[in-house]
Amino acid sequence: MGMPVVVEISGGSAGAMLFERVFSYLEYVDRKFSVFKQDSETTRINRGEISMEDCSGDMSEILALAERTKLESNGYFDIVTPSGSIDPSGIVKGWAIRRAADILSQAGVANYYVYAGGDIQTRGEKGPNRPWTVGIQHPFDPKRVVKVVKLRGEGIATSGCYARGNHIYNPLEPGAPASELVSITVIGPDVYEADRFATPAFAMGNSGIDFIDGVPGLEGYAIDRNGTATMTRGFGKYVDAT
Amino acid sequence: MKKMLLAFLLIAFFALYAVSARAHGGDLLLLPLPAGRDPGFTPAGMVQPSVAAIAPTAAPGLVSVAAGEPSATPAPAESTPVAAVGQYRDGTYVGQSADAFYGLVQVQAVVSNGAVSDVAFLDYPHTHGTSVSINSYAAPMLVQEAISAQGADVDVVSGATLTSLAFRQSLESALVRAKA
Repeated sequence: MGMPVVVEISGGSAGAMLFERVFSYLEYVDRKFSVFKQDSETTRINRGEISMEDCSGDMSEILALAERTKLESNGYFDIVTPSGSIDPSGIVKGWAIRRAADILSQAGVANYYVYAGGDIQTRGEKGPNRPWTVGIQHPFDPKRVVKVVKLRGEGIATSGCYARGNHIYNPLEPGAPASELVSITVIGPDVYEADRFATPAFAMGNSGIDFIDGVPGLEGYAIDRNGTATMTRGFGKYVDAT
Repeated sequence: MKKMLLAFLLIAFFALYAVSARAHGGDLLLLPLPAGRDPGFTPAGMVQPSVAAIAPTAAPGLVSVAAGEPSATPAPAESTPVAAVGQYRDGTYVGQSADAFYGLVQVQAVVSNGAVSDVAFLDYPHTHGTSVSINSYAAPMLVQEAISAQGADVDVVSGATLTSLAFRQSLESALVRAKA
């Protein structure tokens, strides 16, 4: 998907073919949805070559899911950019990882994770009575983590921007203030749910964690520019899990 | 149920009161509570039914710490009668504790320049399970901590990679510079 993809399967065995199917699927998603590809369906829609009514099944599904997410996030999630073109990457990533994970589940694999671009879908455990341990990246020290959570089937997505120092100039919105958060990590029942809400929650700034706190089934961990983290009321259960 | 309605009307009344006080600065129903007065907390006993439509969450927006320490005494030391309708003595006035069914409500109003400038909750329902969730809805207190690097080994790391939008922005700005 134009980003690193890692698949780890625990216990049992899986042939190279199965891994290939997962990687191929994610490459397909990238070819179809990437705004950086000249012949992706997204780019062709943005050039006016395809109307949204005539688009593919997967694109129609993404457009519908994006619309629902926009409503559920009070408009903070919007695949329409300021210039009027669409960029569905904020929802495609989580959706695609979950679909990729389904390939493994349907092949009978019970314990795995699929990682792509910083978001992860877990299933089962790393080992008997041993959950998958997921670190939340240190926003100011990329090789370190600031928090460790234990997952058994949940999805986790982090939205944010780690650039510091020089003011982040947004050529599309020159007057827009720099974001209040450096990152927000959302844990949800699957990575699609986590990802589609992490995206708008980051845009909400300091209110984003309150928003996540109010959505049933989601927990979150937001980090601001001062290195202060705020967590939702149920987040601790993923930290304390054994 | 009646007591809960009373609590909501109470809170809603003060919300409406403070809003109208700011807007009009004058014709108010609230009377300072002189010592010895019968504690009925609802000032005039007459609350417009429409006031109940204001959501309780409107009230927390008004919660502000009045200047100075909240008064522990239930009434100002001297009796301060209303000078005229619409004229109120400047000062800090504490209402009697009122039973809002889920707990006690006590409100302090600060009057300055003849108008209510602040309304603060000195006590609000927080002991009953349901009342906790009501207050949490209004203003959840979420745990905070300073981040610190952890030494643990993990299986995988979740982090924010440069988003497509950020990448494109960066690319566009580079191209703008390239054109110049």
